[in-house]
Amino acid sequence: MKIVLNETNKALVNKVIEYGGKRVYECFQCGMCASGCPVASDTDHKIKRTMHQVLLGLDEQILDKKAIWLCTTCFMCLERCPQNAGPTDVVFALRRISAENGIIPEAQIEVANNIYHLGHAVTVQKGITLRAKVKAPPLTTAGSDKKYILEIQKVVDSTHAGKLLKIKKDWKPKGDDVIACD
Amino acid sequence: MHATEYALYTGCIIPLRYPDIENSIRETMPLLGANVYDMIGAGCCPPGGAFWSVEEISGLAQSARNISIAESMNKDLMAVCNGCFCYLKNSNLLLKNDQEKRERVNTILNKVGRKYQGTISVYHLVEVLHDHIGTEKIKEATKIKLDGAKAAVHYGCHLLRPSDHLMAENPEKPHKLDALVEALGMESVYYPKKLSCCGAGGGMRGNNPDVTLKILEKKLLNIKYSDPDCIVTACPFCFLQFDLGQKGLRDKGEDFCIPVFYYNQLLGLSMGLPKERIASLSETPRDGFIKKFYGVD
Repeated sequence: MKIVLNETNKALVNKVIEYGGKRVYECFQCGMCASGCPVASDTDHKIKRTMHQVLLGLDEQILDKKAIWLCTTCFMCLERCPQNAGPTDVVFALRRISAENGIIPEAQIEVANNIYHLGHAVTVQKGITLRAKVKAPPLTTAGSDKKYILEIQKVVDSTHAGKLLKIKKDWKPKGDDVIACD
Repeated sequence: MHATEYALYTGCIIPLRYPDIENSIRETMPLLGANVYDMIGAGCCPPGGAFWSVEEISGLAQSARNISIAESMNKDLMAVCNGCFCYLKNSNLLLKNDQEKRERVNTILNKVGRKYQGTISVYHLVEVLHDHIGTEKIKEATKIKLDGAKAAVHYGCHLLRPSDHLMAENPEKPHKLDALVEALGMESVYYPKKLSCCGAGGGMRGNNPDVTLKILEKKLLNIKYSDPDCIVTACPFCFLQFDLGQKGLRDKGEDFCIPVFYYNQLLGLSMGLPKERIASLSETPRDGFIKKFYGVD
């Protein structure tokens, strides 16, 4: 494939910088990021390649695929990068750009709706049953009282996150499984 | 001299999926001189996988709301989950040092009658146990010694990285959780790739159940290399991944059944606390370990 570097494909790298991947230009493709990546060998998420694609402006190759959502956010690449180019920061920036384009995986939508409606990333009722079983004291966190959940909703409604994470007003949790928590 | 009182930030998984871990924290810490107090109304931290992944300010504002609850209690915040620690500490640092972000967040918090002031510190339970309390005190407080037991220590990513923000440990050669495990009389064994991810974070467990198990299986094969009696962690999401993930692998016909403990569960058992309250919820059986090393049925 022929790649022409011009102002058009600089749009992606500029946006990545704006959205938190401030040091992406420092990458010199040494591959240290991929060497410690826990998902590189089992998924399409190839962090070294992603860094290069950002610099080349290949937004379709990155944003149309869901590979950036397969990062476990373990920060090993960021920790070990000799250039301090912040590969994890670049992944976060790409996720933010991707979400603006309406691309967001189901697990993220599910967790965000849980937090918005229940105050927690997981369902509350099952937790209350388990607490009784082990004689834990009554729950006092956000999930214990609607007034705290309304606070969280006001905070989220003051940002764009509700729209980006497809938060629905008439939402019902899918189940009691723990989907994502960090 | 460090504080002996902490605002206990329990997060989501501990209070709602493993409340026995919560009991183990509530019951062991005061016996070591560290009193913990409820953060009433605290919500999700929130995690990096969702809110932080779409908009920084939405993650920051929710974290700041939680931190403001500890501030109103005038106590440092103790996180008992790696994810909570990472994002709350990161937010606290960002907000303390960036006036513009602090003002934006406070404009939002003002609507719910709260304010971020930047008056407290965020600590991980491992820091409180190791740096503030110390292993000598733990040795004195634990009557039952786990001599002969071998533990595979799993730190988890968000206790260590990004280290320039978290500053909790040496990111390539951490030692605090090992020292805490050894204070109980156990041997912390070497295994390859000890610092690698359990495979749960960032939305992976929800979005891609097959890959999450693949990463976990690699981790477990490395752990099996040293044939430990148990896995010890101080993160409930890693705990959940080891506990439910091993069950997932067993359901596929694989042989993974290593008992998993949150650190304070072993600490509590070594203090003589009853397992029904502090270590009774798990899919991967632990009764064999408890009977062998504590003599409790």
